[in-house]
Amino acid sequence: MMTEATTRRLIVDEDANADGRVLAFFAVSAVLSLVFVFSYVLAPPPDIGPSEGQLAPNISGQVHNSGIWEDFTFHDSIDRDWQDGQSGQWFLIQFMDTDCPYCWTDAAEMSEHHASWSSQVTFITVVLELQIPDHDGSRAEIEAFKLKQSYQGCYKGERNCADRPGEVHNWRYFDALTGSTASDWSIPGTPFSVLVQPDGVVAWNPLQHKNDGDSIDSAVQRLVGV
Amino acid sequence: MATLLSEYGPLTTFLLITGVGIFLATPQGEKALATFSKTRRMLLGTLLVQLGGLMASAWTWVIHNQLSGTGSSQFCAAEGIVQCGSVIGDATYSVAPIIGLPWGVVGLLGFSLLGYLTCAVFFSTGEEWAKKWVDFAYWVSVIGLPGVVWLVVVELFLVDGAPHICPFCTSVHISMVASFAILHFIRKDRDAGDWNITPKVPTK
Repeated sequence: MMTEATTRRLIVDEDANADGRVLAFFAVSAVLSLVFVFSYVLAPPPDIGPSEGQLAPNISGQVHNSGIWEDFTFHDSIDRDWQDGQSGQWFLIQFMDTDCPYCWTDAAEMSEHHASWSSQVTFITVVLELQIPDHDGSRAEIEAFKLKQSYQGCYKGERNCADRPGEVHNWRYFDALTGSTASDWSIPGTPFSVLVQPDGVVAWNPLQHKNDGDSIDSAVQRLVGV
Repeated sequence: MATLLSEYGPLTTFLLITGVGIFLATPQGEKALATFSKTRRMLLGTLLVQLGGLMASAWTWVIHNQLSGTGSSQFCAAEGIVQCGSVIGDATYSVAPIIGLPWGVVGLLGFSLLGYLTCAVFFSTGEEWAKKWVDFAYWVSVIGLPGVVWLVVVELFLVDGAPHICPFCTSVHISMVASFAILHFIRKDRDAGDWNITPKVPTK
């Protein structure tokens, strides 16, 4: 039969058993908290994201440029010392899918934009593969879409890429068929274009202008001045 | 001089803490901690090794944040073979696959868990559960080893301009491997019935 004394001893024993674990928890929590606070004060994590005012998420991989596929890191292209009001090269980052019908028609608009703005705006087209039927991209298809070459596979695989509207796109096409670029940028659909300042900070995101009627044209005119 | 101090000062500290931990865990450490039993001395050595790993991991996270936010870091060189800029600043390989966390944060969490398990055992060596918890700590350190191998492969072959050796990363790797090794020997002793926790009485 368990007496009060044995019960008390059992509780004391359990406490003693728990002591090391609880003490260890507090000790490690204290050290970890100190390390976190110290690290955060020394270098807080950068505010990276697709919203206006945030540093644009990096885009790193291979781009098709001047006839070849080459390594590209977006953050290497930005001028981190740029100040508001200074001259500098802005970025128009377009997200598209070679099989998306809206991107097919948007290609002509992109050609017009490039003709008007390329002196102050660097164009980058990020090619995604939307996870819906008949949207199977490939590098060959990206090249054909960009350069308007004969390739039966664009527009949900129904049309020849050579027939797409607009001119040949003489700017970088980034292969984002795999990877996390779409989720990093919270892309709601394609085509989707974001204007980025020379220092890499997002200046205009269409998702934040759903209700004010502000378009990419007026944003570039207002912010870049072209 | 300032750059040398900001770059190698912290590295020396982390390596020193880890080195002292390794020393205490070896038979030579007995002279330094004459009153400690063998098991408790080895556990204390493991804890120091893990503290060194945790601090070095935090430092790589600091450098990662600086490189991501401003493109440069005063704590790390960006030129030459032995440098961390090309490794910690790499757009693809500076974060852990699948979970997407910077490797520094992964190291922080890993060494915290290891530290908790080892610390609990150290505080309660007399308890029966403590012997089992050594296994938990050991298996957590085993999980860390493929991460170390992967990061060495990244440094030597995959980062832009490879090979590069990141000294802070190497310091973390040493801590993880040393932690695994010491825990292995503690388990070996325990399995051989040598769970030695009786404090020694110093002789005059």
